[in-house]
Amino acid sequence: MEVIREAFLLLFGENGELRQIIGVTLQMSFTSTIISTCIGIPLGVFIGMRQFRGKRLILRFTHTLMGLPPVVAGLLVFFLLSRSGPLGQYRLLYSVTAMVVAQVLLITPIAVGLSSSIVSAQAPLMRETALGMGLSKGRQLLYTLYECRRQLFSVLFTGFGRAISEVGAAQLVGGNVQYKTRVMTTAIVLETNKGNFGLAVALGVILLIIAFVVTSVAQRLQEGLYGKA
Amino acid sequence: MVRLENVKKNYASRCVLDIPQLQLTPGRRYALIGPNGSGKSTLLRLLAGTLLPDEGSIHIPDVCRQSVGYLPQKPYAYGFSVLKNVCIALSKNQSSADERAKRALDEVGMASLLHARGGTLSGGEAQRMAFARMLVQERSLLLLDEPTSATDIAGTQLVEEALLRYYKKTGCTLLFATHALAQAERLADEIILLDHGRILEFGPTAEVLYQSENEQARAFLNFWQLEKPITSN
Ligand SMILES: Nc1ncnc2c1ncn2[C@@H]1O[C@H](COP(=O)(O)OP(=O)(O)OP(=O)(O)O)[C@@H](O)[C@H]1O
Ligand SMILES: [Mg+2]
Repeated sequence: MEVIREAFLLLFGENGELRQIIGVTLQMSFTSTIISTCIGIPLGVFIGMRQFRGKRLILRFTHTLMGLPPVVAGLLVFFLLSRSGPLGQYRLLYSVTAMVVAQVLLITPIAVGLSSSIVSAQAPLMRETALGMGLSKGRQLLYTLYECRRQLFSVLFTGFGRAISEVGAAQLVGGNVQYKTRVMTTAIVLETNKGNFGLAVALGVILLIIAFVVTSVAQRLQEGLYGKA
Repeated sequence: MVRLENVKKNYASRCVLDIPQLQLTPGRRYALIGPNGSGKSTLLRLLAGTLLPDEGSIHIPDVCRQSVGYLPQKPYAYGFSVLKNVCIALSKNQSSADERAKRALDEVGMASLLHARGGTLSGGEAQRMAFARMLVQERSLLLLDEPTSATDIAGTQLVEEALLRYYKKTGCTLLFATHALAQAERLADEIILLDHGRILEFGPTAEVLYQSENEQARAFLNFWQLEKPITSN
């Protein structure tokens, strides 16, 4: 009960810091989810539908990257963006942009891997029928996307879930700078380290609530678009 | 004239189809029979062009190439409505696509399910929908893989009647696989009997069914002879 009360106070109280943190968290998660799925889903669909040389190798790479530890992605981006790194001149380290770059690195392989396996499970079922009818390549693609739309939509949820819950990379390249790059997860780590366990737990509860609300809204959207599952 | 020469198909070095020579005369109806795994679907896929042979050549006159209608053994029903499932087989600029699709569906007793979603159809309903979808394209070489394997007796009759009507109207060439020998007898002018990827018998329906002297063919057909009093009438 104490935790809920504390969470409530934090959310709606005088101090606006938490609301600012939530804003950064959402901004980072949405942006990186959208960028990664815009790259990853088309790529995955392409790989899933086509047969070509090197497909197995590409998929093996993708599956390896799907398990990429966040700190490793963070480290990579850190080196890229640090003063002496190749992109150092842009002064992007410890910014939300840097966090987004790291998240995109983490989520894109997941979007590719998931959507390619979704499509390659469905496509063969349709292949004979589509070829038999003489459907054009474009229409084959269109109908495949239509048949897989629900599962492809869920790739968005997975990506978002990963982005909002990730801490290692956000900490490394964001730096947990107050009022700038502090997000829910890094704030939780900070409060835990300071020994403010109650506050940390309250933040955790709020994080869960945010995830729940976002998922519910997205689910509504999905049902509105395609009808109930 | 559809012609196959020295056609072979292997899966993992196992030969599943080996046809030195086969010719289909335009305007005739052929039934493809044989036990499970004998290569019926493989032969139909090769003719439909959804599968390529490992060896040999398949000649289909250009006029026909454009005009092959193929109904797979497991046709796919898309998630949208039954009507749209049939309409997508017609090109968009074809006038009255809707009307034609409705008529084709009506012929196989699907008129009441026009707006049902493809994914919710029963096995036999989906098969009848797919049959209508194939027929509506008005092709001149029809390749049907067990078109009535899931339909009930009435549904089978509707499909057979629609097929016969279409055949009489257009004089198409027809090749269909079936396990119902009575159906082969009803619909086909000639029978191709496959076993282990080879043609055991090829000839006029009655000759193959009742006068075959090939021992393996007799062994396969005898099953049916035993069953005949039960399955027909
Ligand atoms: N993709 C594949 N990979 C490996 N083997 C295959 C493949 N497709 C077909 N086969 C094999 O080829 C053989 C012929 O298959 P086919 O589908 O042509 O048989 P069928 O005569 O249509 O049988 P059924 O009456 O059961 O429909 C079978 O033994 C089958 O196992
Ligand atoms: Mg078959």
